[in-house]
Amino acid sequence: MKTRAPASALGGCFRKLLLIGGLALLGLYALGVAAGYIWLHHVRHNVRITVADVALLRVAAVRRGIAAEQFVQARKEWDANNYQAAFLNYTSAVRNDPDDIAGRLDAVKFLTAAGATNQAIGLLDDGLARTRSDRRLLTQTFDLLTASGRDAHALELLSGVLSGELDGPNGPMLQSYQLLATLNSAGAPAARKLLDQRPELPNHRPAVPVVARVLWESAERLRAIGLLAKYVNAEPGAYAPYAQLAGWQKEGGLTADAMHTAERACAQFPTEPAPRILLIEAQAASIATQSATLSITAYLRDFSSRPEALLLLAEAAGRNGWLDLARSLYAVGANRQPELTLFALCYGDALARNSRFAEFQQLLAQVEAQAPEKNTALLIQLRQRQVIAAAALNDPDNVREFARRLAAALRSNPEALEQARRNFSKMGITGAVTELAGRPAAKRP
Amino acid sequence: MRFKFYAVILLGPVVVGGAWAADHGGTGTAKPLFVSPVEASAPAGPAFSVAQLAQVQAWISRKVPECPAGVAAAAADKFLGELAVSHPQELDRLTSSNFPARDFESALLRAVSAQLTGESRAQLRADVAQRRVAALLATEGPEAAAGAPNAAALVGKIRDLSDTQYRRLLEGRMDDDDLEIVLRKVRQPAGAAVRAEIAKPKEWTAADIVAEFGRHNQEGSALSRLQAYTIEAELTTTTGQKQRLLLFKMRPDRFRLVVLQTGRTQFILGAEGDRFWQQGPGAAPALSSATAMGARRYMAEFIDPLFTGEGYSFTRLADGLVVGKKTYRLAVLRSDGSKYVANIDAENFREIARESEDKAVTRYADFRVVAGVTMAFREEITDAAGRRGVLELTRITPNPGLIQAFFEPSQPHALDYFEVERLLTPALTAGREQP
Repeated sequence: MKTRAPASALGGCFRKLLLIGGLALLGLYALGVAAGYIWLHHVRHNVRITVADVALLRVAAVRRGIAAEQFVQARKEWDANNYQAAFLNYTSAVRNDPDDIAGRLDAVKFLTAAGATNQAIGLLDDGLARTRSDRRLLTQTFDLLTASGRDAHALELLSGVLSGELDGPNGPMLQSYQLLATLNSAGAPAARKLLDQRPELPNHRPAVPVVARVLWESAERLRAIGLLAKYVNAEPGAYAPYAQLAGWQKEGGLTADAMHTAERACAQFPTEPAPRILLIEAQAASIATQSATLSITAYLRDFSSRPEALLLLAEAAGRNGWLDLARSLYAVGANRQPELTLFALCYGDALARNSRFAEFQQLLAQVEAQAPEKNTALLIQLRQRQVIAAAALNDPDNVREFARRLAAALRSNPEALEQARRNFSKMGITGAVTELAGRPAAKRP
Repeated sequence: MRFKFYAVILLGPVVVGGAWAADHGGTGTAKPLFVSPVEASAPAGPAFSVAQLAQVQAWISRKVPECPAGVAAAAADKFLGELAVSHPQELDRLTSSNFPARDFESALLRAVSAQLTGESRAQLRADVAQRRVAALLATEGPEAAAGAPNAAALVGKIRDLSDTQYRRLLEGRMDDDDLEIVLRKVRQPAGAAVRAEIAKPKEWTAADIVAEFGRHNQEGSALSRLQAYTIEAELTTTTGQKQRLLLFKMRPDRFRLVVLQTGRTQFILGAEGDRFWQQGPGAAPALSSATAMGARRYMAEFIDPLFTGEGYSFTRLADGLVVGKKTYRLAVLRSDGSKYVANIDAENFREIARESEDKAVTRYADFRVVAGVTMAFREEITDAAGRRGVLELTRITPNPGLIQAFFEPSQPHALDYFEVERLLTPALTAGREQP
């Protein structure tokens, strides 16, 4: 017993030291957890964070909680028009929780609304790299790409990262986007060839509007109208096919059918201004011009509280060359809102539709003198019209000059540049086509 | 018991570590836990070719060898962006030997200045500003450059003249047009004594006062960029009645005044050049002669005549006193023979009052800067009989997108302005037309 006494004392001492050390560590740990929790919960207001998340260092859970809070904050900032703060919150939230698809799509919606389409597409690309089969992500990605002229990018995704998905459960949907992107980028013959390779695609209902477009552009117009009319009957809840169908019917001389389609759209969407515009345009194209005037009167009365309704009608006036109406709407618009550039362009379009190109050109010069230099979206709209006006006035020097400036405005968007080149090619403005082809835009990184 | 207690302490990190590891399982390559918003919002990348960027960066390192590489890269991108918008045709020639580098050197140095931020780079910013002034002088030709004071002296004069302009120069916020105007001022023989002269008003001629008015009431050449503007205002008439006014103005001499009451237009008064017209609801526009328009025809003056000078003659009168402030009084004579007296605050060169030929006096107050131009947001008019009206401006919108056709009279038709407005009026209770 005597010989064991010193060892026992030493052991006791060691155990005491260990106990004190352990308690100190435990105390520090508890302190850290409490501080972390208080900071996250009360300072950062992340109410979803639990003590266990912090105590067990569940970093992903913590980050998810932070991201959820940032998404909510971003939405608030966006609603309050604080775009900078919304942008910072959205980008940070997506980084913190890259797997939150709904949040990512909300961020994409914000970026698109703010005009940052390239960044929105970048977010969607990153999302697809993580989750290839999410239907919401796929739909939003391809809707955005095909609507913004980035068809080449859509085809790149379909032949690359998503090539394996074409035969999967999302296959028909992806195939219809492939058809649409091919039609937009390579024209009707290529799309028709692709459609022939996929004979089952017309049976996939969501693909019908695209298939009908391919048929329309392949000069099978009646078949296209018939197919789309059936689709509208089967899917009455979407507005775009009504507009497309009424437009085709009008163009094909079936004005009574166009009016009928527009009336159905009005009945289906009674509170929306766009179907009413469709009806006005269909009536104006027929012999029912008196009805068109009455419809405009009713439209103005019914939608007088909707700020966007006036501009929608002004755009229709511009498209159809209703000069007097375009001017009245400009003057009334001037009483209602400070920024009039879009109304001015609508009036300019009406001048152009009436072949008053010299006045059109003067108007564009007046708008340009007042346009802020950094408003690229406006500059693009202006330059395109300036090219058309110069071409109509047989002024090749100005055609080239404005085409050069258009290319400069589109330098960071090669797809839109290519789209503009194709449009001018269709219009036969060769000077502009040469300029746009001769200035290849820098490739987007 | 002790063993169990130690075990909890010792096993704690293992459990926590396991949870942490499980949390991170399958996430692939390690990524930073949090990414700063600044990093996340970084631009997607350069939109110019590598050759163009390299060319401009090499040019920057020749002109500003002290410039850090990161700053040079950002400045190159900024310079190319501006070049692409202002001179797209030169962008193509950038990498060729016939690119007129000398013409764009000032713009290049401006782009560098804009990127040089932070206290530690203050000296470099000042050096770059001097080099930029020298570059701009060099474009005037060797003789002009040789005859001019050196760039350092000119930059010093700019600093003495105005702290704001000096800061704008240093921070690359002053474009070449503005810098040329400022340089012209500081290179004038009398330029060095501008401030001193403010202290000696007796020596000021009418032309000096007009020049100072133009200098004090706009930033750089802001007025030249103002092509049109809209004024929204509320007029309290001499009888106490309130009216909403919308006044649209466009260069050179177009105006359209819309007088609204309870959301609807009472009448429109318009002008395009010498053609004046007015129109009320349901009526065709009636043309008016300049004589019939009376003093209202001067609404066609796009901006205060003291800014433009051309087409007017100015005579200095005895100084005056307006609400306790000493004023320079200038008789302003128009080309049609009419005149008025402008009272200019001797301290800040704002026009604070105007005496008309019909003995009416207008007092101006609540000065604010709109698109770089100082404008009065309150006008108080007292006529010869002592009746008082007040015009309070609620908003001025610069360059709103006005077009010539808007200032021309239009004939009534089924869906004319008045009819469209009538159809829309019921919903305008929350609109800007309501008093």
